[in-house]
Parts: sequence; structure tokens; C-alpha cells
Amino acid sequence: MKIYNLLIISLILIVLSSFQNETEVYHKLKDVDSFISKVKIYSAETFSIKSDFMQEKHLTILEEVLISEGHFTFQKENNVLWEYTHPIDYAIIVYDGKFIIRDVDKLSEFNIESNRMFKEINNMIITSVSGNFLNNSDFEVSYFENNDFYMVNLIPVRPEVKDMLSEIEIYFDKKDISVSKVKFIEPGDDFTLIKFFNKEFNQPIPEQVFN
Amino acid sequence: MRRRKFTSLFPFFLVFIVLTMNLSSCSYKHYKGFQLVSDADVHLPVIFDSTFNKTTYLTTLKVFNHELSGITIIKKVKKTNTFHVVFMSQIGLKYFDLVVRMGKPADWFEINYIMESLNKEFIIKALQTDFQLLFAKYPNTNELQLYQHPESGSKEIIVANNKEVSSYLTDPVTQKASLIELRKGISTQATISLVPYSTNHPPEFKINNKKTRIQLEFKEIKM
Repeated sequence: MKIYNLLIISLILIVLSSFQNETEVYHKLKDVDSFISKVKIYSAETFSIKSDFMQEKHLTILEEVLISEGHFTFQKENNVLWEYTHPIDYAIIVYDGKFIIRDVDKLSEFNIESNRMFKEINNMIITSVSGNFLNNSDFEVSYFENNDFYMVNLIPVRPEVKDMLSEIEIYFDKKDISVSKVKFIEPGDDFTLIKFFNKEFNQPIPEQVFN
Repeated sequence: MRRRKFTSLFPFFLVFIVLTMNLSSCSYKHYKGFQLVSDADVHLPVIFDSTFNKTTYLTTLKVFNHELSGITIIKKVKKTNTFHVVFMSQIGLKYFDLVVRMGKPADWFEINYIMESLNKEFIIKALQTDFQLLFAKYPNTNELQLYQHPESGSKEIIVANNKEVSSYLTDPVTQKASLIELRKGISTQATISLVPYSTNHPPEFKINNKKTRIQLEFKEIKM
């Protein structure tokens, strides 16, 4: 009787895991042009994005995942606010060509053009969340899909970006073509996964949000 | 006549100066008011003790006029007797990833990854000095000297290791290290100052590499 129960449980687990694998498996996207048209329309129609996010840091040396949480704001063309609320109060503000870091109460301002590292980070942020990878010669782009998402895989071409990241994966929700997840994969297989939720589009964003 | 006498004595004078400098560099100048305690059973304080597993710190790295902030994970890998240190930005991009082993089977330092802008020989050398001092374990054969302040009860333990001398100033209440100083000759290479603590690892500490003017500040956080 015990063996019979065990067999049934094993069978259920196998069915469940195969179902999960099927939804997670990505296939090469056949109709890339159609997807690109959808992204262009989405990008043209989207002036602002407000969203909550959860950031998972996966390190090969740690069994557990490090979680950070916060709010994300994007305003066309290039204004971005990453506001971390957990585990610490920290914000990255990209506004009017400036890169500002708010660490609790301390503000540090950098000129994007004068600092190569910040410039690369800024480019990656904008590229990832705005769908600005089309006609971007900084990356080799390939397209995939499964039942729920389109996935765009970006491989950096420039050595200064390649040193930091081996790949970027951007996941677009098939329902509204908005970015749902971004995965930054580093050389050595450590990665950061940022998941966006509670998204609001084209809501007015007061300027003081970035100040 | 007098000029000639001085010229003939000059080489001896030079030898005397060199010998004096050499002797003074071998002896460690301990803290004011501390007195040597002889025949004492002396043990060096360990910063991350044997029960330590892992923790995370908010970290600031200052190199000249540049400042990087982020999170550091320190993990003890018992199987290899190593400490794994990963310092990364808040958005998750790594600044450096290194491995340190102090003690058996042999001292070991390895950089798994370092961001291109930090990938300079003097920075790597400073990181090696700083983290080897933080996780230091000296052979039992090393001679320890204990100095104690008669009023405050603070202790200073001095250990010589090859051409270097390390000084451990301990907190009179917890007996844990509050200041570690690494000296080579008469110059201070690096210091580690720690807030008083009684747990198996420090919740807050600062490393100041005086030779390269690199500073690291760590404040523990719960992720």
C-alpha cells in the first residue's frame, strides 16, 4: 500500500515538473518582425512607467538568494529612479544627464559622460526597461518566447560592458508587451534578477520625484 | 685640521645612524602607559571566530577621491577553511570577489573577479594585506608579547610575523580586538578599528590601508 502511494505521489510530481518545464522552456522566436513592431508601438505609446520591484541576487557561494525591494520610475526620454526600500534606503537617480546616488541622507552627484562605469550602468538600465535595444550596436540580440513571455537576449559587444556582464535577458509580458523581468548575468554565472509588478503606465510624474 | 677629523669620522657616523634606524625598526613602540606583562598566558583575539558562518555588510570603499558603496557578503567555507568575500553594488553588479585562507594547509589569497576600474596592482595588493589582516591566524610558534594598561585594563598583544609586526588592542570588557595595526619597519601598513562586540563576528568595522590610502567601512545588515 505504501509503495502504491509513493508511486502515485512520484507520478504527480513528474507531471507537475514536466508542466513547469514546458512553461519555462523558451523557443527561438519565429516572427521577430511582429514582436519588434509590438515593442515599437509600446515604446512610442509609453511616456512613463511606475512599478514596484523585487531584486534577487543569486551568488554561487550562497545557497540562499539575497532579496532587495523598492520602487521604479521611468520617464521619457532618459529619466530613471531606482528607489530601494529594503534592506536599506538607497536610490539611483538618472536625471537631466546627471547620475545621482542617494545613500540614506547622503547625496552624491556624478556626470554620466565623465564616468564610464556610470554611463554603462545607465545605458543598461535604459536599454533594459525601455525596450531600447532595437538598432543598438552595443549588443548582439536574439529573440525567444514561451507561453507567457517574449525573451530578448542581449550579449554585450563592448569590452567595458563585457567585463561586468556576459548577458542580459529582458522578459516581456505577452499580455501588454511591458518588461516583467530583467536578468543581468555576470561572468562566472552569478546573476541578478529584477521582477517588476504593480505596474502603472503613462501616469503623470512630478519633476520633484527625481530631485 | 678640524675639517679633516670630521671627514675621517663620517663613515662611522653613517654606520651608527643606519644601525640605530635598523634597531628602532625592529622594536615595536607600544601604547603609552602600557606595561609589559611577563609569564602571562597570551592568546590572540580572533575577529571571525570558529562558529562564524556568514553575514552581510553595508560597505563603502574609498579610493583617493572615488567612493563606491554596496553590500559585502562574507562567508566561511568550512570544507576549504577559506573566507569568501563578495563586494557588489546595490543593483547587484560585483566590484570584487575574493577568497582568503589564513592557516592550514597554507595561506591563500585569490581574486575571482575584480571590476576593470579597480583592477590595479596596488588595489589588489591592498585588498590582500587588509583581508589577510582581518582573517589572520598566526602559527603557534610565533612569539606573543602582552602589554597592559594598569588602570583601564586594556591589553595590547603584539605578534611578529617575518618582517611585519601586528598589534591587537583589546576591549577591557569583551576582551575582543578593538584596534589592529599592521606595521612593517617604522611605517603602519594598515589598521582595522572595530566597535565593541561580543558576538562571533564584528557588526561594524573600518579598514584603513594607510600605504595606499584605501578605506573600507562595514556595517552589518540583515538581508
